[in-house]
Formats: sequence, structure tokens, C-alpha cells
Amino acid sequence: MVDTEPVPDADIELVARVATGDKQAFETLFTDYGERVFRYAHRLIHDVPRAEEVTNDVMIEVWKNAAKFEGRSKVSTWILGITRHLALNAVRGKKLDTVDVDLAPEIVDPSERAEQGALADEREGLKQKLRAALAELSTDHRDVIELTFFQGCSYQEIAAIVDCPENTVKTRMYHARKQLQGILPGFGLDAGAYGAEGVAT
Amino acid sequence: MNHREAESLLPWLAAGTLEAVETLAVEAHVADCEQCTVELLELGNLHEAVAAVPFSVPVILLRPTRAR
Repeated sequence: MVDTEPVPDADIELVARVATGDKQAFETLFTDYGERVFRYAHRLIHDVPRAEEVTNDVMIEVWKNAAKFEGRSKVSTWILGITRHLALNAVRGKKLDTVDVDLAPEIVDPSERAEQGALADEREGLKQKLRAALAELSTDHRDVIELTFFQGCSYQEIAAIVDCPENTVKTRMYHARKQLQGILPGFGLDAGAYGAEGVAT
Repeated sequence: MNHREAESLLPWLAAGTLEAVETLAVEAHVADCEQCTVELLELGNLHEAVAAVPFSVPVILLRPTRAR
């Protein structure tokens, strides 16, 4: 799990308070989920200003629809599902065949990086290649990768968020992995040890 | 758990989001399967790389918007 998951019952109670018009509860919910929503939206949109707009739209939807939340899923699943819906609406008609990995400044402590030396640089380079490879995946395939590894969602939660059967999630993951392996064998392992020729570019 | 089932769940084992029963079953398979062992290592790298994507959190998220 990448993120610290808030206590589910506490979140459901928070949404219930939001449903009564409690603005303090709404701000708490925004504080807890705003960054997750933005990051997920940004990964789908690749545009900071539009991801910010989607983030605000998501939270407004949460505010307006909190009373409809029945607690049958985790709050995070519900909110990320809204995020996906609004983000995909935002990118409809826009071809996203590239990603600008320099869009946001990289958070790296220069002194720490110097200490890590060449090995760290090599690993960072592999990460950059992997991120570029992720950008080549279809939205459905990238979605399942990012919900799994970035948002820390279980396959059951992903099925609820993207509204598809659990087996479809597994199938999409399988194809996404195979595609990534074709682009970047081993994801940074010593490819030679497994019969590959090296890192594709 | 057979190989195909275990392999399909490896990503969520790597991400630490499998339920306990499934975790134990997949881990038991991986212990005896070289292919799954390698794939799990690869997925660990993938997890690390995806999770490490740099972001600057917009100021807007530090100042929650008032509900309308």
C-alpha cells in the first residue's frame, strides 16, 4: 500500500456529515483525499491545470452527492470512481499518446542524490523509461497499473472503480504487464539473466 | 492455487493489497515457482517506479476549496 489508508468507518462517518452540509467535514475530506484525487486525475490527463479542475469538480460532486453514498464500498473507491469518470470526460477527444515527465518539478534532494551515485542515476533512468512506457499503454491498461501500484487499490476495488468484472481487471493487468515487458524487459532487472537482449527504447 | 491463478494475482501481492487468505496461497505457490518468483521481482520494480513518479502538489490542494 502506497498511501496511508484512512480508517474506513471514520470516512463513512465523514461523508455522512458532508451529506448534512457540514463544511468542516468537507474540508477534512478534501484534506484527506484531495492529493490522491489530483494525482489520479493527473495520471489520466497529464495536465496539471486540468487535473486541478477535475480535482475541484470531484470534490464538488462529492459535496453534492454525499447523501447518495450508501457505504457499500470504501469511500476511497467511491471518490476515485468519480475521479475516473470526470477525468475521462475531461480528456474525451484529446489524444494522449505522450506524457511530459518534466511537467512537474522532480522532488529529489540534490545532496542525497549525490550520495547515491551512479547506481541511483541508473535506477532513476530506468524509472524514467518505465514512466514513458506506461504512457504508451491504453487508458484501460494504464488505469489498472496505476490504481494497483500508485493508489494501492485491490483488484476488487479497481473493479468497482472502473465498473467492470474482477476477471477483466486481472486480464487488463496481464496485457498491461506483457506490453510493458515488451517495451522494457524486466522493469530494471538484469535483463540478460533472463535471456533478453537489453532495454528497449 | 494453480499457476495461472497465482500469476494473475502477483501484481496485488507485490502491491500488498491481497487479502490474507489469497496472500498465503499465492506466496505458497511462488515459493515453488521460479517463473512467478522472477515476475514478482519485476513487479516489485514496477511498483517502486510507478510509486516514485515525481509530483509537485498544487497549492490549490493545500487550500481546500469551499463547497459551493
